[in-house]
Amino acid sequence: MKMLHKLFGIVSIGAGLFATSASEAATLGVDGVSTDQSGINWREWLVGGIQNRATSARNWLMPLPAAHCASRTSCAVRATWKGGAGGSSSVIGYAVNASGGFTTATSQKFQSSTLAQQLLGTLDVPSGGFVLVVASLAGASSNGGTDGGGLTTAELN
Amino acid sequence: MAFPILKQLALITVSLATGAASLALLTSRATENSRTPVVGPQSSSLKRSEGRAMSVRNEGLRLVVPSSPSSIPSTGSGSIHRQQRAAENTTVSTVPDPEQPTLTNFERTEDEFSMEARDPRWAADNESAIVTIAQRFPQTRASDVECRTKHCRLVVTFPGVEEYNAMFRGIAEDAALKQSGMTANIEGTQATIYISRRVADDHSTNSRAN
Repeated sequence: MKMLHKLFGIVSIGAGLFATSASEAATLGVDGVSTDQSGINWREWLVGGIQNRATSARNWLMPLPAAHCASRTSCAVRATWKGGAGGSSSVIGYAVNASGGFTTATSQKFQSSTLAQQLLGTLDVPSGGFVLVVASLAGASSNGGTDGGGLTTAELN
Repeated sequence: MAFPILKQLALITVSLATGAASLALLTSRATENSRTPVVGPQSSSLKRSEGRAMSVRNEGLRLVVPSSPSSIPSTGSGSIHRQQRAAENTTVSTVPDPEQPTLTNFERTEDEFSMEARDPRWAADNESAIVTIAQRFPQTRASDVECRTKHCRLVVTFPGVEEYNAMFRGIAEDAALKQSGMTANIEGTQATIYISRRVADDHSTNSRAN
């Protein structure tokens, strides 16, 4: 958690949500219960996940250990998410080195109001590093509304 | 009476001549075999091969010339063919050598960039866009911004990792660049960043989250 604050300490990301575990994700996610988690890879497909119920877009940060990567030099990053009333939501994956610096990024992918999984790209994860998935979830039409953007899976393989 | 005797003598003569011809042919094959040029990894076995051919020639009619490499026994000169197969495998194998260090994404991109020509319009547009993005992060300094055909490169000097990350993220999440990925090499307070060009533009990038 401290590392994430360090990573984004200077970046203005609004009222971002921070998740360090699937259980915390379920708590903050408001919607749904964690029932299908594969190790640290975070899966809540069609169960719930995290949803933005504020009217402004908010970021959800998901660190995943590179141990789930098939290979250190070719780590595929996938996520399942959707946009909301505020527009499309985007997700991007970063490889972070042991000092907290970003070394690789996937392209940023967008998704409209339909929940779907996309391959973000493959990362070269430095030794001792990890993968950070950043989902910018679109806002809801009203505070507490259930039509905001959502994220249900983030996984490496 | 004399005619049958002469006929038998003639048959014996023909048989002897045929035998001599066969012997000559076999000896000739053995000689040719010993003269087959050997190159590369096989050369270490060349002397053994020649020695075998010489001894075979001296054995005369007991010579058996192998018709294919697989008929060579596994001992002695069989090692020639093991080496031949090894040489062939070395040439055509696509299995990566575990001893060979794997290039990182950054190293591969660096190599590709060094061999790229310049797409003038795309390069100019993106160099301008990168400079504009970099100006949003006054605590970092971007220099040597250069785009070619498939990649752009810039060097970033920064006071701390937070400032560097902010700029890296600013570039990665700027839809105007239409990038397909980024890779960086960080050394102290300086980083070299490569940005890969997106081949097919994703239309969904036109609408961004609020």
